[in-house]
Amino acid sequence: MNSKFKISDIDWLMIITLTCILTIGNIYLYSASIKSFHNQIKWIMIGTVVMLSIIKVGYGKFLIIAYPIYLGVVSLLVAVLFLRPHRGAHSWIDLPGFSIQPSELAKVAIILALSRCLMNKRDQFTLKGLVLPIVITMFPVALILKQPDLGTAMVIIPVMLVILFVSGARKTHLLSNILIGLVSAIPMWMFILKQYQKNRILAFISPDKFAAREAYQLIMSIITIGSGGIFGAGWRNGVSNKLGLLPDRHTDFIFVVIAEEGGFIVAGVLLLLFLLFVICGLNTAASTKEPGGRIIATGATALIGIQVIINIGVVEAILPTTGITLPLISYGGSSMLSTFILIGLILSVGNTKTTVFHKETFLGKND
Amino acid sequence: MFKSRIKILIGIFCIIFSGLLFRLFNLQVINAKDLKARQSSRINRLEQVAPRRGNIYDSNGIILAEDTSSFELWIYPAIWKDYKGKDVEKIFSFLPIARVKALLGLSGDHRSFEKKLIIEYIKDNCPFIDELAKVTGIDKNKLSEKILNVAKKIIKDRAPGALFFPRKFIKDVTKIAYLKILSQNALFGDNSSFRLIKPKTGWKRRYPFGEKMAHILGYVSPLSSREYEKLRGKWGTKGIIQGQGYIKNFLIPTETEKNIMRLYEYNRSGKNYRVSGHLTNSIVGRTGIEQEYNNLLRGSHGLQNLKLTRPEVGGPRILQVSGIETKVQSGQNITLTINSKIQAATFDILKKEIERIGKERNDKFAAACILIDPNNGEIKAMVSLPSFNPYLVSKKYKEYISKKNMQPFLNRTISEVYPPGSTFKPIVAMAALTAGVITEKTEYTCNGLIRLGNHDFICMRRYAHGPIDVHNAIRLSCNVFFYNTGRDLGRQRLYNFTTDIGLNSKTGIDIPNEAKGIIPDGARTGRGWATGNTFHMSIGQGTAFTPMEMAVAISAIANGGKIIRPHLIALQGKEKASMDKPLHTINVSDYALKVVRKAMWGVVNERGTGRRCAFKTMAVSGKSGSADWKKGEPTHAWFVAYAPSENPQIVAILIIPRGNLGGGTCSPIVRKILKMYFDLPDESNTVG
Repeated sequence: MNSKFKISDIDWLMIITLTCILTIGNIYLYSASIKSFHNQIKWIMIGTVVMLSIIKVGYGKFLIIAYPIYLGVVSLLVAVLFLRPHRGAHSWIDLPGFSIQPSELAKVAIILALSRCLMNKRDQFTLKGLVLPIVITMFPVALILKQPDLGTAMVIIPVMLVILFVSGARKTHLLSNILIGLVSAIPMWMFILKQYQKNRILAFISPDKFAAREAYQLIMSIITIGSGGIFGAGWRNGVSNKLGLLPDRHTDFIFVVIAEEGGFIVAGVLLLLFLLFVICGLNTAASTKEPGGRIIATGATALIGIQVIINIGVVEAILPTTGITLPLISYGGSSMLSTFILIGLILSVGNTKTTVFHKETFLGKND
Repeated sequence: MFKSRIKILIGIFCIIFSGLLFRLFNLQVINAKDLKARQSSRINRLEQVAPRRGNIYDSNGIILAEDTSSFELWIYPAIWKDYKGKDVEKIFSFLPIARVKALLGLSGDHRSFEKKLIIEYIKDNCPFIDELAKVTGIDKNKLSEKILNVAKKIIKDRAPGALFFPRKFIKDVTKIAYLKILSQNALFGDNSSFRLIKPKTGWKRRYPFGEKMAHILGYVSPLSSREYEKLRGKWGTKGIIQGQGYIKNFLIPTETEKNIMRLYEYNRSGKNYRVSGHLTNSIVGRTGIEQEYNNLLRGSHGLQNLKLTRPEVGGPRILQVSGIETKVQSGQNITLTINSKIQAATFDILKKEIERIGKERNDKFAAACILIDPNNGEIKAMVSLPSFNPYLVSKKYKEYISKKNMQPFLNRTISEVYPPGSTFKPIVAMAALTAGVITEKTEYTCNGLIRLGNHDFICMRRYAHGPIDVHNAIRLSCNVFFYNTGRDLGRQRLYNFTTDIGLNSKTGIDIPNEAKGIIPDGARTGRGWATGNTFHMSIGQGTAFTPMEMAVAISAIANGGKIIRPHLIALQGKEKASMDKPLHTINVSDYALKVVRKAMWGVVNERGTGRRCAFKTMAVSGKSGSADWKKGEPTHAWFVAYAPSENPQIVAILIIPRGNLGGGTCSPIVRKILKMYFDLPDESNTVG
């Protein structure tokens, strides 16, 4: 492996964007919940160390062990279903000192496995070639749905489509896949979705009829964002934030706090920073010549970008409530860690964009 | 190919993100104002603040009625727990509401039985009743009954959204109970077991003189739902009153109150209600001074802003007063002409006397007495017996209006008319003397009766006075003299003079429910006017006046023909002068006045019918009356007097219905009252 870690090769624009997002995010996380802020700083430090180690090691090593990682995560996803549920969901595994969410790790594992699967293949242009990537994705997605965690599942599926799209699948195949997906949504609605998940969607369709928690959250979210105005209520001065009128404000609804206290100026800048981050990530993918790295960079960027879109779409009440965190800002260790791993992979791809891996690399003949 | 697909991807992301940015712009810039308003309506509330009602003082500055602070418990029929998105919690959740509705239609034994069952049900199901009983020390049965009463009120209140306003539920709790509930709610917020209860400070009315002043002062009670509807009038779509909007002579809403009603009406759906409290909780005066001067006394409601705050991070949210929208204005204090000492003493004397008479005759008696200054119309005392307890009106209402209990609610001084009997004779004499029909020297012979057609018009007990002039006719109360005088005077002149002296109209006293005297006319008898009618009227029969009207007429004799306006309110300066000014001067000659006043002096001081009212140290003038009102019943006993005779300071009117002879029954009582009024020394009553 001829990859060498060089500071000059780092994508500095991405690092700056990342720093800005983290800074803004943590300022308002402090406002929403001081305790969460302190924990978050710890996780950011851990995340940074993890990220730097990934850059140092290089994404290639991870591609080599992609399948073992995938199998390990899948077994965790199976294991979690047999553990004691937290708040009605089998999403957490308790470890001494902290707990992890296997579904967050699954995001990384699926992207790595898809890259490993698609990097040296040419048969993704045929319908048959699409079977393996879809199975690789849908098996953990089904397990995640079982937890139940609709949000994470809903993020992974478009990421898969993006990866297939970038790695050259035919548009007609992709479209037919989407169609199948939509048709399969009907039995999913009938058998898999839990009542509260249905309620969320129904509440989104007609908030006024649903005076339940979901619609309340949506209405409160819009009112709070709107009352921020252009310049905002001022840091730690948001009415809904202070009174705690908004549920989940330090996790899924942190953007509402930013919009209320920072106003359109801060919220808009944050949105543009996320877009800049996505563009940086995709540029990295475009500039690398190595197919595995390209797929990793695309998948990781798309994952973060889609999470941002869904999260902000939910708080702006354009999408039904799904329970997706805002990457880099929402409080949550597992989510933070998986995001940093993904960013580490993207930066690593950018750092080693000239390298081309051959099939032999993975068989250990080279180096 | 990969690069172009990535570029397409970048394009898609750009489009989606600009969509999100546009939505953000839409919310935070375009719709910001509207959403801000919605935010503030969720956090800010308006609360009405009840004003302190004005005090009422007597002429010496002694308190007759005052508002003292009280601790009240209000109950929310329903509260939204929507901050957590949970369902609405209602007191109805532990109330069998269908049964309460059914209860409203029941009567008699069914009703009391069903009521007992519902109270038991509430006792078993109300989640906070045990603790409330412990804190307040009120019996659980009583608490359940109070909750039931609130529920009944809510059901009766037809205004939609009535569910969302707290109702007064316990009027008066101890300060400790109040503080306990307050602190528990503040500490535990939504988790407090008293979350449906809102402790408030309020005002309660205190009447130190109780029933001694009840007829003068009246009492207070909350505005009823029906009255509220009247007050509100009809509301147009733009919040403008399109109806009555007031209760005549009684309650005119202030701008703030109109505002409260408007806000209430607009938010009656209850979704975003902003005003808490309901005008039907406001206190208004009933009868007496409390009603007459209600608009002065009640003050004006204030509105205060409440803001949802959270003093501690993670602690309970509480509504705190954040500002004042409209300042609450206390009611004005008013001073009365009443002298509380004299009023109380008069009340005591009268009560003792009618009890004594009642014991002697094995009967129950009512009484009405007025002490009024004939020079300016200031009422010094006004007693009507039996009286009522102003605190117990709602409880004993039925008892208070029943005839069996002698109608304690009836203010006999102004609301009831009685035939004046012989007390009317001085007025007839004045009319005749002024008209020149008789002179001081005119004499008629009394044979004990006068025959007209086939009917005998008799003198007192057919006693023949012989030849008698006007002085002695008044002094000894001879009927025959006045039959003749009346016949010569004629119906029309008698009617004119009676009207002139104020007996045909209300006196205009400043408390409500005044009655008007009855002067007979031909239409009333059904057979046209006969001379017999004139005969009857000449001795004060067949006609009826309120004691207050008689007070005005006797005052006119005492003060030289001036018709005063009796009043209770004590004013200052110009207002006082205009109030004290006589309404008009009657058409009476000085000669007539002189003769009649001398005769009335004679009634008391020349061994006349009122001799038992005489003092050695002071000359009193008066006239007794024993008015027939129903065959076989004892006559109404009257005694009217003024004193001192030469320079009248006070006019005293006393009537004891069914009290038999005025001279015998009433004049000694009037003497006692006058003695008390002038604070005269004891003397052995040798006269008579």
